[in-house]
Amino acid sequence: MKYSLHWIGKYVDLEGLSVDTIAAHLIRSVCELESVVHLGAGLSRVCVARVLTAEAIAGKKHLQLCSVDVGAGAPVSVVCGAPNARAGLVTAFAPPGTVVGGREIKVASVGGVESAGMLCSAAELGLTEDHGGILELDAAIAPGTLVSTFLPIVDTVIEVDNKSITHRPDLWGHLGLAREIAAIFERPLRLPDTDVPDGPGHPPAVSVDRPDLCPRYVAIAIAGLTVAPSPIAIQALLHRCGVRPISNVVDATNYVLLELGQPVHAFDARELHGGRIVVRAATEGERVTTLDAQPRTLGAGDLLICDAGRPIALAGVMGLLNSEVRPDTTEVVLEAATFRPDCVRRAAVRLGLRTEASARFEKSLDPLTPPIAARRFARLVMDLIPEARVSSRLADVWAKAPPPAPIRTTAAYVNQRLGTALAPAEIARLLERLEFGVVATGDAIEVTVPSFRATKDVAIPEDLVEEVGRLYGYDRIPADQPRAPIPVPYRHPDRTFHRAIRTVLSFGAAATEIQSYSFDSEPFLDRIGRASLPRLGVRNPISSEQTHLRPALLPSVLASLERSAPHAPRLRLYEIGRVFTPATTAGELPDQPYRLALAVRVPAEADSAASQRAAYFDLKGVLDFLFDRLGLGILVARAGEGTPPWLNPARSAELRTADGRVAGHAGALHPAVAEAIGVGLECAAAELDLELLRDLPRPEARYVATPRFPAVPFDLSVIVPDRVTHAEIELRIRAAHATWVKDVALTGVYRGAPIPDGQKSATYRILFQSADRTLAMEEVNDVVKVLVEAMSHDLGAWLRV
Amino acid sequence: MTHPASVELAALRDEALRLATNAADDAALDAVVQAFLGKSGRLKGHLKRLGSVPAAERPALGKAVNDTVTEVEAAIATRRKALGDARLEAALSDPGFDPTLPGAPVARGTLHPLTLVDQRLDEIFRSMGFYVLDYPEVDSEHYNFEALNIPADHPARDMQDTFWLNDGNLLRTHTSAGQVRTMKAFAPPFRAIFPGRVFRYEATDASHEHTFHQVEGLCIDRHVSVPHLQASMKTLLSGVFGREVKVRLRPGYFPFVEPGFELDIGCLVCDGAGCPVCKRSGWVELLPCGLVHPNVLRAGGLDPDEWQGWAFGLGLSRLVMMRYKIDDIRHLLAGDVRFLSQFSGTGLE
Ligand SMILES: [Zn+2]
Repeated sequence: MKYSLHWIGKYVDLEGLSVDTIAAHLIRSVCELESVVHLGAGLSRVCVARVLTAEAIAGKKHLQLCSVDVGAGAPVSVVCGAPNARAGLVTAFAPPGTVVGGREIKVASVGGVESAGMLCSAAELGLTEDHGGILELDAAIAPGTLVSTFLPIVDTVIEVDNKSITHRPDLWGHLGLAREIAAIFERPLRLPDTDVPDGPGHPPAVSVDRPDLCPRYVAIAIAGLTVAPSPIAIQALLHRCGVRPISNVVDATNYVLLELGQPVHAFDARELHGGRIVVRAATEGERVTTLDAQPRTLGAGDLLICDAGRPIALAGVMGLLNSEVRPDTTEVVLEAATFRPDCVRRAAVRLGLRTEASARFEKSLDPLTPPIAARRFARLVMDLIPEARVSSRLADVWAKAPPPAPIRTTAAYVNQRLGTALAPAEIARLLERLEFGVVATGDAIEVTVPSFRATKDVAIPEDLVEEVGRLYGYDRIPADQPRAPIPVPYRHPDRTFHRAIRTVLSFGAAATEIQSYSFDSEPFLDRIGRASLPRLGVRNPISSEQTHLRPALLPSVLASLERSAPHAPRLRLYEIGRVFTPATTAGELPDQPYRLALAVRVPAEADSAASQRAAYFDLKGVLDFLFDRLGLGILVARAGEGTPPWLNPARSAELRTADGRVAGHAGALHPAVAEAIGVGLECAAAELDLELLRDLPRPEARYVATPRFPAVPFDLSVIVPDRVTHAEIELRIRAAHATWVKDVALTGVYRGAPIPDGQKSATYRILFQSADRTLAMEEVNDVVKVLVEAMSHDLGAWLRV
Repeated sequence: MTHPASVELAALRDEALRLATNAADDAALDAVVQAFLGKSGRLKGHLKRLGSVPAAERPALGKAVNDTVTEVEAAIATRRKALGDARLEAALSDPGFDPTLPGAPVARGTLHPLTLVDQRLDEIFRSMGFYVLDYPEVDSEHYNFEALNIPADHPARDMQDTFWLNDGNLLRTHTSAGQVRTMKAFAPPFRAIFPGRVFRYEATDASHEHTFHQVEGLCIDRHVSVPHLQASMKTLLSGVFGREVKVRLRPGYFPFVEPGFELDIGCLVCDGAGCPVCKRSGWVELLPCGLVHPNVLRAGGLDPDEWQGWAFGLGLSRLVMMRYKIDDIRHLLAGDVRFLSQFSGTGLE
């Protein structure tokens, strides 16, 4: 919100306080400032002038040479282009040296004629946006009078960060900020004039159907109006606070809004059918047209202000077109009310109609303010329009709630939280400056919160701590280290595990870590294809490209592969991130486990099969290394049913735990995906379930004595059907003797004559070793014999001789 | 007269010495040893001929053979040493050697800059006795808002435009969503941070992302005061920035703290003297913080008469951008190796 310091000065004397001082203290004790803008810094010498003569300049279409009386000395010659420049006009004159709109006025030749100054429009003086002509001032003002003495051309506009006063409905008007400044600098606060006589007539008949949604409704009628533009001074203040001047009556409502923070609304009395006001809930689907000429469809929770027969305002949000103040309006009924904040907020959010009024109502307004605001409006209108008069008594329907109980706290508590040593009387004095009522008895402090702070903001002792602290000054409170007990150490299982993975992959396997959005990219999935996984949708997606949370991590690394491949023939990428699967039970959080996805690219080989294999085995090398470093027992098997659709099913593997659970998949990239993302076939990718891996038992590292007896190597060649995997063979070799088999190395695979078609010969070098003796060849042969029999039975293997 | 054996010995001696002295390498010397000095070598073998020599001459000839062996051995040793010296000398001279040629390549991987800063914070905070925790990215309205004293229709919800999910949950808008989870999971007193990604429904530009990273700090103890918060933040931030920082607290409004603060740090660019970075104020707004609101303590199952706390929320993405002088936040999640491979830290610096 924007505040004019000139306006604030109406309620608190700012004499002797620099703008910097005021701003610094507001930042220190009250709110955040967005900006501080000085208006009219170069305009202090602008004075009133009377145009004596105005003559057209030959050959210059719009220019006139004016002779103006500026109060002292001889008349001054000024060239002026304004259409309303005429003899007898009293206007504003900027002498040379003044700065208007950032430009210094100099004695200059305009159209061949000397001009010693400038006659100014309201826009040029920063008053309004009106630059249709020069200012027209009251003819009674003496030439030479400085304009700044009766118009706010020199001012400072302070913009406060709205989020920093979300909790302070009282600060949404100039009086509220003036009250803070008065408290800070210990100066008296002058309240605005609300002194008006009651009118003669009956008050408008107000009935409130829903006192829960409208705790207080005040209405008053004002007659004898002549709708006209407001005086320039009023227009100027509204304008610089961001509100467009409209007419004296409407401007007065906005003036009250910006002054007291209390929205008020004027209905044309002629349109108040039956002379009645009914506050009722809207019916679902009810249609109205708001002041901005937009049709609106309401919900059952919305609140309406109606006359005897029809709605005339959407409560707390906006008036309706049917009852607005018009140029011929002579009498208005003014509404000043409080509405339940969440009701106004819901309506405003749903209708997309966030107004100055709704922004204030949704912050819980002070129930004591409506009658003050109504009378303040009457006073303003009567000041603006001499014939205006209050034509009714004040209607006031108030479901009065008991005032909140005083807050009880102690000086000791306040001092403990603030680290201060303030006496109870000092605390009382600080709170009293902010208009709190304080009774201090010994250490006990009983605080009555002023109504304008009690609606939401201040209710508990902690709130008082803040009030005392901010006014006392946090910068006066010395820092103090807390006592620090030694905590029980705790290592988060996920974080610890992920750190280990990152270290192994980035520094061991030379892979690059990426991080990507938690959303699926729909255009990317359109290209690479989708997995048939249940996905969690976003109700309000930021774009049509990010509508669901990712259920798989592979596409994230593939997208990075696409982006990065043109720049790197050799790549190893990985991401650790959460994926999301809808919960099966309503009301629960979705399953959101961490996954690890990897993608590699290797230099292409001569043919696609070789490229795919090279990529796959590069990837598998990384995985083998990772599992080894982490001590994870993972078994690799030929790909099964659950292979992700982005991998080539013919060159993929399933990664399993020792107890058979699927921990992930790895494979060469599916040729269709490779084509879609514009990489060759020399790519491979994997996705692993880190939650499952995290919880696997990991062997404790322990020392094993260096072998004292020699190892016996044994070369074994077996012929097996092609479908039998290396892993299956190795598993059986290792199982052949749990302690003697120290190492199994595949030394060669051979297909072709004399091996029958569909079979292959695999040769292994097995190292047998015992910890307590040198093994005899016969012992090794016995083990191998049993092994070969087992492989023959399980795998259809036979010994190659 | 000289016995023919003596004549032959002299010839053998000459040949052996010639071969030893001219040997090109150790292998040639070894051949000389083998040929002349072995048990059946030509010199030692010569002793066998003593039988054919008159008895009177035998001692002299025997001695002559032994002397010759000694002489040849010495020559071999001399030559061996000379060869060794020459080799050493050769090895110690390499005028063409260029020590600046590239070393054998070692493949190089990198951590994401967010990880690097995350790990640095992890290190610093754990060394100061903090738990480092991790919480779900999809969370409930309860933990993200209600438990934090932000009921439905509270105007403060405007501060954080929210991604809502079809199942009624939301993408957490701040790491503060972990506060009440932490209170429920750990027995006080404790100190904890919880870094992670957060989401805001807002348009993206160079300095705004709908997905970014924060780190939340939470301390629960029996007596927690504004001065504690101030001192703790000063110490923690000095650790984070690796130098002594000045801090100041200003009033700030966040429903889950009371009192709430905006914390400024003394500008690290100008040390408070005033510069464009701090808009000439000497201070830079860094993070929101405050004393934990009693309603939040209650939501976490803690009795506000017994337990108090402070909390802060630090922009991790912003910290990364400050640290690496990254000018566009959108680089962070774009997955481009040309960006990512620039960060060669180990996370332990
Ligand atoms: Zn600076």
